[in-house]
Amino acid sequence: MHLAGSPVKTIVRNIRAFEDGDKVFLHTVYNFAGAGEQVAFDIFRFDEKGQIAEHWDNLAAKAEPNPSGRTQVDGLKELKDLDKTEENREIVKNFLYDVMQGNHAEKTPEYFREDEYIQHNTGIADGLSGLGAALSALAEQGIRMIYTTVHQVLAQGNFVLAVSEGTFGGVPTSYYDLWRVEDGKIAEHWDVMEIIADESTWQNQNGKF
Amino acid sequence: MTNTQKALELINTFASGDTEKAVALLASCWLSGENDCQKYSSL
Repeated sequence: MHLAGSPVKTIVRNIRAFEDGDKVFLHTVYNFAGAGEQVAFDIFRFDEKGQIAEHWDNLAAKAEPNPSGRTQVDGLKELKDLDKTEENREIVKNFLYDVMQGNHAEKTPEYFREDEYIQHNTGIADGLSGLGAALSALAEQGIRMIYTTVHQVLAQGNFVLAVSEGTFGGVPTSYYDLWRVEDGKIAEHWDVMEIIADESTWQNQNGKF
Repeated sequence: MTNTQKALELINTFASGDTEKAVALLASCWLSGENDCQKYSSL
């Protein structure tokens, strides 16, 4: 039965849409047949005929606003700086290597304009200070957020989406992070984290990444 | 139609149930990295 045939309608509300080469990446709120709102990042790859040939995604339940009062989807939407796509992609690639993968954590402040960092993660407050406080709180609980592999870094203008694999508290996790870059600095962040399902439950054998 | 417009049309078929439109947008070699594939398998 198609979801649209359910007694409760499926609702699709796209928030942001970007295009990078043969891929489109979307930031969307779904409510599948009344199952509850979920925030998603979808990536679609198009083939040479212009048809959709491959798909990746992460979904998470819609949460209450974070400590700074921001939701998982609000914030700036304006696409600009199309001439800076590659420059901004490079900034995020370096940020992932230096900071998120912990190779040069001391460089963290270089990626931000002082404490200006608009945060949409459900558990973290604005600012580099908010990020630091959240990571410290996790560390006190013995929880580590580890990014082992960066699989895709997609970009259009001032928006860059990274797809990474790692662990959160020791649990295999898929990370989708969308950053907005402004004047060479990381300015805003949205994310969807998803536990990587056990392979025995997969509906196909294409792999999560 | 741009690829972005096509992607948006596809996700909107989840709500509309327009199976014909969805199938037209998908390549025959459709691959899904989605672990919970219900929304596509039902198309």
